[in-house]
Amino acid sequence: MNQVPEEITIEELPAYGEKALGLRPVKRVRKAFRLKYSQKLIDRPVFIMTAGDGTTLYVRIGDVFRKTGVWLTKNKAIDIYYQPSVYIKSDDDIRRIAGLIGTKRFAAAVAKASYVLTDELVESLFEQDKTVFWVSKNGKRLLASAFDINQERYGPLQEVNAIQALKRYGVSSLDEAIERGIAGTNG
Amino acid sequence: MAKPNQLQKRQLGPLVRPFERHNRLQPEQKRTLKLGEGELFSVAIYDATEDGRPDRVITTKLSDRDSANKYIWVITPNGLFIAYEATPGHPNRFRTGLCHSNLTGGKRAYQGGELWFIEGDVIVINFYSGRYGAENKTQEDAVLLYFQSVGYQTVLIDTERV
Repeated sequence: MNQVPEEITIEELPAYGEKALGLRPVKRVRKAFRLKYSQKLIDRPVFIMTAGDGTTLYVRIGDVFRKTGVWLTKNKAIDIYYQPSVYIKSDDDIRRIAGLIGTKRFAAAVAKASYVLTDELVESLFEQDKTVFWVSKNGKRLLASAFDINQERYGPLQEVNAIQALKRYGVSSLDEAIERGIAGTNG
Repeated sequence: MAKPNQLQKRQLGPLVRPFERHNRLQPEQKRTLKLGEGELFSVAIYDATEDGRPDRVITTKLSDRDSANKYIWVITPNGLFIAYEATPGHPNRFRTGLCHSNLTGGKRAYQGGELWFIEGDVIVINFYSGRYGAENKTQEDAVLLYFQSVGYQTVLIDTERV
């Protein structure tokens, strides 16, 4: 692994992979902010996504600090390129994938792929993901937990891994299952 | 009626942190709050503990329930709290709307779910919450009773059976 310099440009990020996605800048910024504001480092890296033109998405990678309820962000900006496809139908789907996979893993994978997000890349991310889901007896419901009440209500549940769930139900259903505990009902 | 009494608290289930029920059942795949999800979004929260229904809500027909007219609810030791899920300006970086932990500030709650206000003083609730959702029938029944105790007389349960 190359030595990561103090400052790197967005173009140089892929050359360093995951390690470059914040560690050096974070250390430097964190120390400076601690000295100045005694702030707490909340998370790193973080995406702040804004709407693109349908094929690109403006994404920021950086560090978020909080002091007395005020968010302060030190950002680097990149563009992620994508075409609407099976798994990625909108900007929201990219946000969902990043949330499901974890921002750091997502950022590293996208950076290695020269910021082009394809269905193949999405599948590769979910293939490595350890999350499991459950499917109702009739296959219409995707559940995040095998609670007793779910088994009573939806019959014997079938366990599926993340990639199987992705291929069968899509990104938004996976996100919905995590958020609501279930996907495939109204609302 | 106001805050849950001791009996109600027991029936509603132990207080849990966000995702605690899920994480206890599946410790190998622990879920945590993402950026913004633990922020209390006070401006959108209605305290339904004492007087039940908010003055101004989006109502819908029973058959027209969807995400555009959906509210979310949580029951905490301080009572019942409701918010419109699609409230703009929410702090969640990875969500398109509010989540249950925005109603608790990431703190513990007994239960959580979704709610629709139906025309004619009827509400429909379910127990769908990845963070605080019910895990057994006793908890679901206790939720129904608590909703009725704070003033919602006609509560329909939305649990689609197969």
